[in-house]
This record gives sequence, C-alpha cells and structure tokens, in this order.
Amino acid sequence: MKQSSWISGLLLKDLLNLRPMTKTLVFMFLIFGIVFIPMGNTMTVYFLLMIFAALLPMTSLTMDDMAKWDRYALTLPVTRKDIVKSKYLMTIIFFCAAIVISGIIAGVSYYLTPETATPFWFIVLVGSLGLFYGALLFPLLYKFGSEKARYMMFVLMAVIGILLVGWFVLFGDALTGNLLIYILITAVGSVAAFIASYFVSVRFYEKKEF
Amino acid sequence: MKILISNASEKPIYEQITTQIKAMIISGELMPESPLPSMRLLAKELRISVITTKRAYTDLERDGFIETVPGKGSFVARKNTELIREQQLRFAEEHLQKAVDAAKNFGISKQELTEMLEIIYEGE
Amino acid sequence: MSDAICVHELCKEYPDFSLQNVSFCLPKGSIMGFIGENGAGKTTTIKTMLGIAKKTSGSVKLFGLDFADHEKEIKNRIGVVFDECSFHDTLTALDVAKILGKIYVDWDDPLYLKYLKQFDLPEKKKIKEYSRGMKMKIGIAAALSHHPDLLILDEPTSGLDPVIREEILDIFLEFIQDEEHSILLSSHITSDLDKIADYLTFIHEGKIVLSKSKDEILEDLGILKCSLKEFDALDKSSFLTYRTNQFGCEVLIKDKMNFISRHPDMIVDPVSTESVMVFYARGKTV
Repeated sequence: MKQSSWISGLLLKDLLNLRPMTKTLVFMFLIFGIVFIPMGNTMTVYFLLMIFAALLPMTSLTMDDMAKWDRYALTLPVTRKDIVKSKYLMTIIFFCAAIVISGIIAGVSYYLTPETATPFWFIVLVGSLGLFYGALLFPLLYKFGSEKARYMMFVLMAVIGILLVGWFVLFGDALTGNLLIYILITAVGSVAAFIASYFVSVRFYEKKEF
Repeated sequence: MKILISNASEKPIYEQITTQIKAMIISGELMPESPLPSMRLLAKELRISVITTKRAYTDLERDGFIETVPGKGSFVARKNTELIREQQLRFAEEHLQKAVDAAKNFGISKQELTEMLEIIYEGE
Repeated sequence: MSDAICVHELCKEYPDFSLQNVSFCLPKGSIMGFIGENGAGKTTTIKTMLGIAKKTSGSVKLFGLDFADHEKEIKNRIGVVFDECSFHDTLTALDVAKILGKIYVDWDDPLYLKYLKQFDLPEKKKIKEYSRGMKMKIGIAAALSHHPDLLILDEPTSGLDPVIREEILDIFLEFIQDEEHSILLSSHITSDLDKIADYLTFIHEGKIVLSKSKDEILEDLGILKCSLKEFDALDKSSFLTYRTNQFGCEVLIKDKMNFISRHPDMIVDPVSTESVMVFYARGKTV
C-alpha cells in the first residue's frame, strides 16, 4: 500500500488546470520580453512576471469554485488543511519561478544594456510586494468566495501599486546600504505575512461549508 | 435454469421464485446436490432486491428443498424422496381434480373417465 | 460491524431549512435508495454526513467507525459521486487518473482504464466535450477505481435517458455482488429504485418519514380509496397521510393486511416507491 501523497495530487490538479492559461501567459511574456528587454526596460517585465505569479494561484481557486471542486475534494482522503497547503505551496513555487526568471533576465539585460539595467534588488522588492498581495488576497478569497473577491483583487493590486510608490517615496533616496536593509526588512515582512496568512486561510477554510 | 417473474402478478415475487424452483426440483430438472445461483447473482439478473431472493431461499430451505452452506452457496437438498413424492402426488392430484371437474361439468360418467385414463396411461 | 452507514439524530440548521434528527442505517451488502422530492434534504444529508457541511448535532458512523475520528481512513474507502461532474472541464480522463492516483491509497489504474473502455469514455478528450451521461460515468469510474467499500451517489441518473440509466444501474448491481460493498443512492427517479433498492429511506422537509426494506414497505403499505364520509367514520390509527379530491379520498395506510381483513369491501391499492414519495410530499398528515 503506497503512501498517499495528497499534496502532489492536489498540486498536479492545479497545474493541469492551469495549463491552458500558462501557455497564454508564456506567450504574452515572450512578446513583452522581446520588446522590452533589449530596450533595457526590464521593470515592466518584472512586474509582469509578478502579476502572472500572483494571478495563477488565484485563478486556480476561482476554477475550483466554478467546478464545485471543493465539495468533491472533501470526499477524498485529504484534510481541509491539505487543500489550503497545496495552494500556498503552489504560490511559493510560482513566485520562486518568477524570481529565477527575473534573475536570468537581469543577467541578460545587464549584459545587453548595462547602463539602464534595473538592479536586482528591485526584483526582490517587487517579489516581496507580490507575495504580500497573495498573503492578503488568499484569506479574502477563502472567506468571501471568488465571486465577491474578484473586485477585491483589483483593489488590492491598486493598493500594492500605491505601496510600491510609497515605498520609493520613503526609502528610494536612501543610501545603497540602508536601501538593501530596507528591502530585506520588506522581504522578511512579506514572508512573515504570507505565513500568517496561511494560518488565517486555514481557519477560514475549516469553517467553510459547501 | 429458467426463472421468470411477473411484476403484475398478485403473487409476491419471492413466492414466484420458490414456486418455480420447487417445480424444477420436483420434475427432476434440478438434480439433488446441484448448485443454485447465488442470491446476489439471482437478484442482479432478475433486477430485484437481494432481500427478496434471500427470502425465497430461506423459505426453500425451511421447506427442505435446498441447503445453504455458508461460504459455498446454496444446493438442492440431497434426495428427499418422501418430500418430493408428496409434492409429486399433490401435483398429479391437482390435475386429476381438474379432469374430474371437467367430466362432471360436461356429464361424462366416472366409467367413461376411467376408461379414458387407462387408454392414455397405456398409450404412453 | 454490519452497517456500512449509521446516522443518528443528525441535525443541521440553515436559515430557511433544517435537517431534524435524521437517523437511518444502511446494512452492509445492500443498496439503499434515499428518496425525497426536490428540496427534501437528500443532498444536505449527504453533505452533512461527510463533513462538507457542518452538522449542528448528531453522530455519523461509517463502517462502524466514528466519522470525526477516522476521516481519512473512511474517505479512502468511500467513493462519492455528485450530480454535477466535479472535475474541471479542461481535464481529460487520463488527467483525472493521474490526480486521483496520487490521492487515493488504493487507486487502481488498470481498473480505471477498464471502466473507461466499458463506459465508452475517450481517454484524451477534455471533459468539457463530454455529454451529460459521460460526465456522470466518469464520476462513477473514478469512484469505483480505488476499490471502495461504499458508494454514495447523489442523483446519479437524473437527466439521463433510460438506456444509460439502466447501464448505470447494472454497474451498481455488479458492484454489490461483493457483500462487503454497499451503496447509498439518493434519487427522485423512483423507477430506478424500484428496480434495484433493497432498502428505502424517505425524507420530507428535512425529516425521515420512513426507513425500511423495500419489500416490507411494499407489503405493509397500501392506498385506501374511500369517500369523504367514510374517511371521517374510519378508525385512523393506521393512516399515514391522505389526499382529497372532488370525488373522494386517498389514504396512505400501513398494516394493510389487517385493514383489508377488517374492511374486505374497501379498495386498497398496492403502493409503489413513487406513490409513497408523493403521498409524503403532497399528502396531509392525519
């Protein structure tokens, strides 16, 4: 009797479901990339990657809602915690992938256009804010369902945008050394928020009825 | 083995089954110690509840026609000549009764009827 | 342990509907039809039994095990099919196997492929291109392919034509050949249940009104036809529900044989699963 590996099962389900969307996003990314990277405008590309990384898990949650998957999933030998865990794990995977790709792009663009290349720390900042976005949105999706939370999604994106601008206003002029520290703090804060958000989501999901 | 049930009949389904199986045992179509289909298989094939077939088999066992061995299934009871004989006599009696009723109805005398019986019996 | 399912005093409150003290047991090796009109509480009961909706009170035991304490173990042994296909329609039948293969401990890929073939389901087509009958069949194939001991199906045949319905019923009869297997089947298509159910449990407005073996029900219950005057005069101790029309009364009675022997000249018709359901749904209680 093999051990049931629930997490890979649930993850696989999400990855398979997101296949068509991923193809579209990769295509968009390539187009933007080909246009912007040689220009040295990697900022847009990083943003795009982060948005995609945030969009995919959210979409999988919406797809679950539409297919009434949860009702069925709860008849499978998986706990409610497992289900939430798999979504958070998936988000981490996508974010890591986005960061790695961003890093590669950073390397490439530094080689192509050293002057206008956006520094790597920018990637970490955008990634942190993206993660923070996820940390906020997941519990909202679980609590209010993906229909209502759809509006919140865009509101939150705007909020994140404002935060980003605000961040620069506050810290943008700081010395490089301090800058790196501020970024580190933001990153750690985002990770902490993400972990806290997991526990909140679990609590919401445990109470949810289908 | 043929078992046909009628949903429209007044007779409850389990009774239809016991009647038909008893008839096959008496006629010798089902030999002693031969296996019967499992209750579940019968239920599935006839599309009836397993509770019904269980009841039919229970009744057959109670009346001594079959034996159920746990784990093995149900079998026609070992030759119980007395019991079978009784059923066979009853069968013949019923048909004779019909002949007598018809005879009386049409004004056929006992003598004519007895002659008829002898001719038919000898003729086989 | 001889009961596959034992539900005891299950209660669930919603703002506009509630399950009240739902109790019934499904003996192992049998098929129970769970019957009620739309909105009677069939789906709610099933969801509450399985923890998909949270019960207010009551106990649920599957295979003699308390549900709350043995959830994962129990869920490995049950296969559940809801009335709408629960798989995302961008998936294919093979995708489903890959996913469930990692989740169920006893998933049997060759068996699943055998069912796909038997049900005529294409392996690589997306589910969104399936017909309604095919969607139901893949749910059943998935439910059967991890060797469950108990199948729980919520309206598995509604919306399907009689030919497919019979195919599916045959699958259930095949499943029950093993007496360790049991099936709980909720439906308002009473003709299907007439064919294969061993036990019937009727639910109406969130309450169980009757739960017995089908044979017992068909033998014990009857429909009395009488005039309004006769209705008033009769002893109503065996009356369950009744309906009136311009020309008389129809009464669902129990202990039919006794009544007939006392009133041999009155009309008492046999019942069917459908008439029992309708009498409870639309009849008035005495």
